[in-house]
Amino acid sequence: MIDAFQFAFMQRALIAGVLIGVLCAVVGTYVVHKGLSFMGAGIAHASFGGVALGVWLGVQPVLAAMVFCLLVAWSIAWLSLRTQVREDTAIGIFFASTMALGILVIGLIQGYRQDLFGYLFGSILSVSPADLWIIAACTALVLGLLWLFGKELLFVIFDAEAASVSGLPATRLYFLLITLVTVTIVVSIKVVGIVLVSALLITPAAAASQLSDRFGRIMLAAAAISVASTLAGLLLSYWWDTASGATIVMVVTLLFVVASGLARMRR
Amino acid sequence: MEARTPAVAPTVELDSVTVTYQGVTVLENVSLDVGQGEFLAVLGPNGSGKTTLLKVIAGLIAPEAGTVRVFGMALAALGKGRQRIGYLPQSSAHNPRFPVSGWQAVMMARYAAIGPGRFPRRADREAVRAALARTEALDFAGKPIGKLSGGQRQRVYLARALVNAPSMLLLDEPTTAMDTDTEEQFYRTLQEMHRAGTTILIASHDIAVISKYVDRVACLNRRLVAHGRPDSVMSEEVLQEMYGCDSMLFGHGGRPHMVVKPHP
Repeated sequence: MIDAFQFAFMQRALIAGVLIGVLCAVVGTYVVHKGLSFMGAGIAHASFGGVALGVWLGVQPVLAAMVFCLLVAWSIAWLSLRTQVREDTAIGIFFASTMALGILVIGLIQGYRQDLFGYLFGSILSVSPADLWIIAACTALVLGLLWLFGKELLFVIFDAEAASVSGLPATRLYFLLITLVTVTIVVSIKVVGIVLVSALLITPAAAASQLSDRFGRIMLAAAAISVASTLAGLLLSYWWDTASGATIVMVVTLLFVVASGLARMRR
Repeated sequence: MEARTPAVAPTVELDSVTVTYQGVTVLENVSLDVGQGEFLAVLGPNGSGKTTLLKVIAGLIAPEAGTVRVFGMALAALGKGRQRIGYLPQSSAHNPRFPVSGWQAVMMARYAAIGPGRFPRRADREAVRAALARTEALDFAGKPIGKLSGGQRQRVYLARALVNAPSMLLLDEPTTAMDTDTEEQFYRTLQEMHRAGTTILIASHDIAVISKYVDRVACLNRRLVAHGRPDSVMSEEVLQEMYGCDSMLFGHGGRPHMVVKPHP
């Protein structure tokens, strides 16, 4: 195990995995209990369009995906709050259309762009020092905002109307939550990829929810499950020479099954 | 129909309020004043607009037409004055499996006053304890809300509505999940608050129970059908207009009871 981490790329992968693991678990606890899992999957897939646009326009792909996904996420939230379009309908529309946009844009890019597929399936072993700084900065930003507004967001996801009547700006807080979810997803795609990122966002929190009925404890347990899965997945993929993102997702899914079994035994 | 001239200065003033939702008129030209310290029941069948009316007063729904004033001010200008409103949504509005304790659910209503990045202080904890004691929910407040009975959960949510010592309470079908004893206890708490000067608006379809406690009833079926003291308003004509079926009233145990007349 120590041998594996003597390489700089493995050290960076380890730090990135821990940071992303904690970030996804904490944000994912809000996502799961607000019922935003489909929104998470929709934003993740929209990032494909953003990455493709970034490559085509010569803009840093993660930055392009961030701007693009924020616009998509805010549009979905606005449509569901202000029009007669249901949230899942809006997500369904953007889910497919942004992927289609990505595919069209790839067709416009000269030559074969292998790095685009790195975003699709993740490449934690190729995390660069610059990527690590971006991941660290985004993690600090999101966790900092959650430290400031976490309890208010908890009230909004529990009962938005009562939160509003109590004097909280419920709609603005909902948009803040959507923004934090989007930042988390986009910054995580380097680690597990567009296709698999929603698993890291949702599964640890869903597994932890089987083990406790207190929000704070669920968040802590989700972080532990997420970090353990990331580390185990990383090591297993190193030893077995398998795709790291997919291995991490399989480990976290296994832990979900174990947590569900434990919850069933306790009942 | 207009419902005007309460005995004291109005806490709520609705003037020609109309609300439409997805092209359907939910409230039509409703004008209603609710006096300070008044205990008013909003009666009507399912879909009559009771919940919408309370949400309009709470500032959750903006009317299509008409004006709403609460505590003498337009809702938009109310600002922190909204914290003087205690709101209890229908029990179906909550996810009963949400992972928080009863205590935490009540504390949430203090978050706006506590502020971002700050933790509850002693005064907040005391306010929560007092509210839970008032609704006799202190004993089970430490449990997760998913492990409480429907009646216990409603007492926790009533405590949440009371925790900021509101001047006005808006209660939407609050006794739906309660057994008879819990319901009696619930109304006793409301009566105490009423005596202490709190304005209370309660949406209900239970004419028999509610008539015993309230000062005034407002009968709603998208429009305001009738309003006034329960004994003076309740007539077969009003029920016919409100429920759209042939009904009759009979008195039993000092309360009016409604029965639907059988078809000949």
